[in-house]
Amino acid sequence: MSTAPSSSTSQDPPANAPRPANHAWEAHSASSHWADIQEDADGNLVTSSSSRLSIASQIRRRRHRLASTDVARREKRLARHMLRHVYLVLDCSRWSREKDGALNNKLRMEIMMGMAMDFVREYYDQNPLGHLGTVLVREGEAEMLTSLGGSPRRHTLALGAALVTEIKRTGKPDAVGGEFSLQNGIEVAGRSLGYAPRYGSREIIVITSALATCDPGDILAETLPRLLYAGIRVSTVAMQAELHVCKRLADETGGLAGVCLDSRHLRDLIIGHAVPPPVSVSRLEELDDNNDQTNCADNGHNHELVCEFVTMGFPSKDGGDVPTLVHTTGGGATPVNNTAFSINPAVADDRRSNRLIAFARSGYVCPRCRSRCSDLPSDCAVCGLRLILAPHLARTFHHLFPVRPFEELEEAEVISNIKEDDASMSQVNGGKSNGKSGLDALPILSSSPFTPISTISSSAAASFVVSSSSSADVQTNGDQNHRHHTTKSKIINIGPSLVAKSTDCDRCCFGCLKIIGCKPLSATSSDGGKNREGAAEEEESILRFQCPECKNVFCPDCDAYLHETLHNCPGCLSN
Amino acid sequence: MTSSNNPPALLLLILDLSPPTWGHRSIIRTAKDKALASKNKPSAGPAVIDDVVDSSLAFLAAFCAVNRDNVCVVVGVTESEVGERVDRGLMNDYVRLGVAELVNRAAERAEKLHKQREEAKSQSTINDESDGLNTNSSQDEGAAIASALSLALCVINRFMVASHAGVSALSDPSTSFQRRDDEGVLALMNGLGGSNANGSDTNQDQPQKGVLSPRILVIQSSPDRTADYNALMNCAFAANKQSVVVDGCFIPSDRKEDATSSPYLEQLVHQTSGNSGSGIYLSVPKGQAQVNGALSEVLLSVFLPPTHLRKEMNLPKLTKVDFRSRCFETGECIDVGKVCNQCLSIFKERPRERCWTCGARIRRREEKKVGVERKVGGEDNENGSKRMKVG
Repeated sequence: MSTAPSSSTSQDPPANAPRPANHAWEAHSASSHWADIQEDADGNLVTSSSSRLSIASQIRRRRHRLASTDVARREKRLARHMLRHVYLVLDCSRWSREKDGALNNKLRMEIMMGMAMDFVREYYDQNPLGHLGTVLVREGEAEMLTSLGGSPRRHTLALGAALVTEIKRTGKPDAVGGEFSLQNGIEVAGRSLGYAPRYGSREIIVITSALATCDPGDILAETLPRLLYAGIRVSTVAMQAELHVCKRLADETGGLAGVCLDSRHLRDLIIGHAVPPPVSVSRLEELDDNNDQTNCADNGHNHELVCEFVTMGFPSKDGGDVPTLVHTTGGGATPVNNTAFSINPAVADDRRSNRLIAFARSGYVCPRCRSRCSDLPSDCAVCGLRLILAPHLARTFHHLFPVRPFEELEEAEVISNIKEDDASMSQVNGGKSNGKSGLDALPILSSSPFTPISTISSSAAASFVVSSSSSADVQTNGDQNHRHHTTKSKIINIGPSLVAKSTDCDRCCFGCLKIIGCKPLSATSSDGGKNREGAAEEEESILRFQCPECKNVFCPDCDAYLHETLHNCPGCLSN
Repeated sequence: MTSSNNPPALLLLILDLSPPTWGHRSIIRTAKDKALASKNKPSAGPAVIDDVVDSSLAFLAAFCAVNRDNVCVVVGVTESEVGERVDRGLMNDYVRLGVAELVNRAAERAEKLHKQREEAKSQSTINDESDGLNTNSSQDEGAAIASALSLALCVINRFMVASHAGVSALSDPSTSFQRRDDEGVLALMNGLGGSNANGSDTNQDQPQKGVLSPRILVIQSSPDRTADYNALMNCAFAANKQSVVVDGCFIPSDRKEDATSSPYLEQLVHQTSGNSGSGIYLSVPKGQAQVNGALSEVLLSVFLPPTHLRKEMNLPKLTKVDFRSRCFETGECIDVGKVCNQCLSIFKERPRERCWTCGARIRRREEKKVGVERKVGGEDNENGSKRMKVG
């Protein structure tokens, strides 16, 4: 991460790339040069076009990349911050008003705001109980855009509006936006975080495109001790080159400092912060110190977890025919459904200006004071009780009990010898018997009789495949698979009553029934040579991933889906 | 009807086939029918598995008839197994076959378990493994709905990947957002004008792209499985993310001691109806509504209408949902609880020394903490405002 190619170095594209007449970074294709340079497993830079790679190795590379980032490191049982308080500090200074060749040749601010909105969405998806706020820095000053709150909609609206006003701001071309001030940004965010309860985390994420900071004082001497004292974790994401001060702040406070390589990497860096960070040891120690001087005997094991109990309310949803007044934040995951109109009683009152009162038929009733509110999670407007829903807790649980990473199965069992048979026999027998012999030849299949349970009908498939160049292939493959699969079929059966560590048909994705782990017959039988895409398709279908717990096999897509979105393993659940 | 005003839909039908539940129902039904037949009255017992399979087949046929591009997938689920099938041509035969197969397998498995248990008993040696099996089978009362839902979502994801929308192994983890990048400020400004910035824009785009609008219908009859709660909620959030509409239909039995509703299913439907507001939960009334084809009528009239038409119709609404949580220690439902900030376990009373679940030491007194906080906050506040002026 320390050798970060910034936009300034992007003036030197790889030697083999065709160089346009004007500056390279202004060309639309400039970013593609960087896409060509990739990191291999050992961290070396390889200049190979991604299109030349087979799909299988692309998938492997992606899995490897994800395993190296925080997202996939979840297999370790870590103590994580479950209740987060995060401030996003966004740089809107003159530095962010430049076009960046490495970032699709767009204004950095545009990219940053877009990603910030994505981050907001992802953050609330991953941490339904979290709080988030945003701070804008420009002209050397920091301004709080949104204060800590639990409503994603409010943040995205504010960010969108800020982007529009910032883009429209005019002035001298070099001077619009002024300088960036790291210290002011952190001070404003930190000041607000100081009020955040101790049981949650306190984090600041700085996204900056500046190469310099214009501060009223010395960050490292003045702000840093206070950050450490308040237990605030600062992470930085640089859109240009690395700044020493950012790196230093992140190192000292236990955060991450990243420098983006291109827009995809930037996204990885920013969205990566949506995963709750592990509770750092230093913080635990600090908590210990704060906590008790009396318990000196416990100092031997600093790694011991310290927890705290927070009083929370679980409201139930209630409704009737008559609309009643409910408190709403004017946003939230669900827009107010049957709201007649809304009034704002507290415009002047700054702290409560984000609170509205509206007429609605249904609302959540606070168990302590019986007032109603429309969006959850939030703090009760009347008594301040933290109101959550049990699903929000359940949603956060997957950070504690993640799906174990699947292992890739060897493709050794793939029908290499039968393929030739197929090619010779296909004219004689047709696809059906070939498919059967192909699958029967597999050593892992159990001998139990099959009944048709799963097929992907080609008629159904035709209706959803989007017409692109590769869809025709997919469809013909599907057709063939369909045929050799109707004869086969499967019931997926896991559990102790069956043969241990095996399923009925290990050539079929447990999740989506895609045929995996064998080469499609169509590649050899119907049109031998095929084009490149056909070959690529073939490669992808070789990959199989197995859940270490329930021993079911999954296709690459399901593997990604289960780990990144669903956080469930269907096999383990039914066992 | 053109496809523009009625976009094709992808229906995942999840059928609860757990043999103990249905076996129980059929016993009740035969007993009741006998009693009623002696009085010359029509049957009013709870639905049996044949009723449900027939009605769902009728429903599927109707669903396919609404739009010729509609696709449906049936997922059958018992206590420990999940099977799927996708088709439209020979749907009826295959679904029946699949149901029979799954039920047979579950029965076989139960028999085997029973035998093992008997053997273990007769040997009177306490075998660890059989012990585990014993406890397992007693816990797994309901059907593995969460597993079936996960499968259903996988299938939906496969369809979405085919139309370049879902989570693919080749794409970035966040491809669904990628599109916005390329559209720049104008798209953002447009997005601001829209009422819902939360992902309904993708929803609105779907019909134009020719993507099937996905939905799931869960027909459940067995009681909820408590162990599945977290998994179910994971499914709910994943479905929400991909704007999948989840409908729930619970078929209760006649007996008073059985559950009349499924709170988990209710919560699931409520949680997923956030973005489009159209998820329906229905607990089928007892008695006549469950027999003699009445079930098909219920399914057809409530769940058949396409999701975008639902807001125009008078359909059952979820107004009252019980979101209370259970105390981890005593198991009772609580309104206000103490939640551990490390492991999020819920207790009615604050434990003394350590959290019961994660074993973490509980921090000392609250008053002290508040004091420290104020100090930090105040200090930061002061300096922060000073800096602001200088900057």
